[in-house]
Amino acid sequence: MSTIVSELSMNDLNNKFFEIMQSESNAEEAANFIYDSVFDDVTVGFLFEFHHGLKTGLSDLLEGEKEDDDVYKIVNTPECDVFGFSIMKKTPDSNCSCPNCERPVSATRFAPHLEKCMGMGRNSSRIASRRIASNSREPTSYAGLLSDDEDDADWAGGSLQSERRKRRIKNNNNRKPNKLHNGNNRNNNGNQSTDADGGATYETMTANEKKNLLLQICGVVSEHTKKLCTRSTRCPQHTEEQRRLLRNTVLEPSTPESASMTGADEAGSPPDSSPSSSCSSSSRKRDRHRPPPKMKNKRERVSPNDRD
Amino acid sequence: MNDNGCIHLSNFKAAKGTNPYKIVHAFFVSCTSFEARRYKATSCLCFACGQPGPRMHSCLHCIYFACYAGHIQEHSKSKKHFLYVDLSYGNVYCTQCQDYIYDRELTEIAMSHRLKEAKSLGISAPFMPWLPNTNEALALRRLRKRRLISPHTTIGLRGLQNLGSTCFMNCIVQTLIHTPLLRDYFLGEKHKCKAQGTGKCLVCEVSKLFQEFYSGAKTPLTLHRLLHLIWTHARHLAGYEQQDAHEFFIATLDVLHRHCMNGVEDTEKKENGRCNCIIDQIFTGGLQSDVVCTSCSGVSTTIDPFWDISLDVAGPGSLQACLERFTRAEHLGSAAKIKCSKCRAYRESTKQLTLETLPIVASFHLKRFEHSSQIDRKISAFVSFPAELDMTPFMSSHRRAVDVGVDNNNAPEGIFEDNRYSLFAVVNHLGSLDAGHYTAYVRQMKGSWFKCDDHMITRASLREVLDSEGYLLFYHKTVLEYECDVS
Repeated sequence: MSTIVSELSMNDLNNKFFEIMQSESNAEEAANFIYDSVFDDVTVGFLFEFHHGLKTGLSDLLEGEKEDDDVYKIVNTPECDVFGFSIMKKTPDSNCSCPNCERPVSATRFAPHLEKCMGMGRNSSRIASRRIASNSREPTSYAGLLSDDEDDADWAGGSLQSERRKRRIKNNNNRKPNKLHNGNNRNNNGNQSTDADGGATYETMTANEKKNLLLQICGVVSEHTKKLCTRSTRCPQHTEEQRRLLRNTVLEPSTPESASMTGADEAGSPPDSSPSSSCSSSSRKRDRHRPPPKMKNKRERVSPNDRD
Repeated sequence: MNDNGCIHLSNFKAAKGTNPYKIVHAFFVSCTSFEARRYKATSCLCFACGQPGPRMHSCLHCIYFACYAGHIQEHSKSKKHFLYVDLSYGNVYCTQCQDYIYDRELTEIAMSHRLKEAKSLGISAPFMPWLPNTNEALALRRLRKRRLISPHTTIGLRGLQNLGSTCFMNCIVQTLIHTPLLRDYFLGEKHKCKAQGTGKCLVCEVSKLFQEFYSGAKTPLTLHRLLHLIWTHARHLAGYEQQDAHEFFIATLDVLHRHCMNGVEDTEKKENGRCNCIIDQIFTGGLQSDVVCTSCSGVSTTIDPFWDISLDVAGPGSLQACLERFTRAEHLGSAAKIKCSKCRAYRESTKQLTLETLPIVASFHLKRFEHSSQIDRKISAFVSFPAELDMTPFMSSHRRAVDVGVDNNNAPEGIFEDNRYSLFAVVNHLGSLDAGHYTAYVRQMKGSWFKCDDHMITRASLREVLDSEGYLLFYHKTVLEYECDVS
């Protein structure tokens, strides 16, 4: 580019500029000139875009043909929603396949089913006890969860299910707290220990079993019943401190594992910590938030059913 | 589409390559350096008449600048130099075709120079319209039908089946689906996933959801796979009989953020030490906390990322008032002394929170639920919130300027920033603490609001939205700037 020789040096330009701008009429003329130039540039830009679209066929490609949208028109009547469904009528229920146990479940009852199926919630403790008894499974897979069908009113449809339903109806009459084991019906889990509920202790488990188990459940040992807590690792009954203590004791010989345990949720945990707590100075604010320490109690984060 | 220039340009490229165009473009169209700007400022005058226009062009065959008022044409004719470049936009005129011609190779050079120019000037990248590649152009030709989003059709709307007290999830899903930038991302199929087809990636699941919402189908969707995925990856949520929509929102963002990394190479994951996944690009802002020591006036500043802002509702009657209180300096009192690094002693101090960087989507959580050891209650106090919100007063830069006493009209920083936001979704909690129901208002397009009550979608007016109680409020940045990611 050394061949380009400029007519004026920067210095010349600057001097000339100030000289010319001394005069008010020149300044006004310059302002008009700049405005006109910008205006022309913008106009030409618009024309170029239009020309480009026409000449290359891009406009036609993008535009295509408008789909006939009569079938999608919003229904505007007070007794219907936008799709034309009556707002009085309940939506028809349908079945969905539970991603956890692969069985068909009534959609409107899916959440309570999944809660139990994944071993959480009200009945989780008993289900999880059976899981312990049936021995260690894959740490994160719940597919191997024992069936819980006597209790589960969610099954619907399917030949297999109708058989279950009959059975359930039959069982319905003699539902007792201790209805757990009906050997004849549990054809797929014949190997199950019958005193599962109380049987599990850390003493009988291998280090690996203990580790896997503690990835899934709270595990704090009750002072009264001497049983281990089978709620989730975030169970509200016990504190993080209790869980940490328990893990330190139970997993003592293998310290490297216990260090990685507490946060381990799944394989491939995030490379980056995320701002997953809200930014109000909250009691839950993460540790990584650096000083100054949080002390705005008035911004305590609260939410319904926040049982922590 | 036909953007292969013309036979004359092809012959020229075969003989001389694209270098002449590159040089002209980098120096006189989009100046990619300070040196180039100097050249353009000093030498872009018509060689024939000495004027700076109208419409300067440069010959592509030799070094010759001339205006379009006849001089560039004269030069072309006398020298038989058939191609010249327009210096405003870099388009090539061919005198043999007697028209401006468009060549993909040159267009791509021009686009890369425009980005470099913006970077060199330290300004945000210019808007550049989308150009389909060969495959995309073929697909557009093969599939001619275009589905338009209009305020008169149900395209983009879908009811969601209640799976047993899952209205908290349905509300958040409706909000995410109607987040403009997220919609563009997913409908543009930008999520490339290594775990595709395994059913384990929540981002893939949301991607499918967008297809469902825009499919035109009218029956309610069942989000059982989504619920399972979220509960699997955020196990602390699973099993609550009734959940908090806010908690679910944050957990969902967290899982999405983690799964965004599925398709990304390790080297691309972070830019300047911060995550650049779509969730962080849209939802993450920076909260600045300044603690000022009352003895020595020393300031300790920290900046933390945030996804949403939780606001107390007792007292103030509007969102702006809540934010005003949130960003007000607060004396921490004698009971909460902090060790001042300057004084090397525990001192009383004041603390102030301000917004250092704003996210594209600003999410506000009105703390309507109070749980304490004495009482659990819902605060139904009316809090008004606007359809359009200017966040400037709550920015760190603005607060600094106010404190120093700078005249607002001459604010040194941030004066060119546009911090206006538009409301696009509101989640409401109806009923009491233990027996409640969530519904959401979403904006499908400007001025077109809908109420989402599980499977029921009905039209709503902006008035109705603004008069609702409000639990979670979602605002989208009104004007977007383009980031310059040229290395």
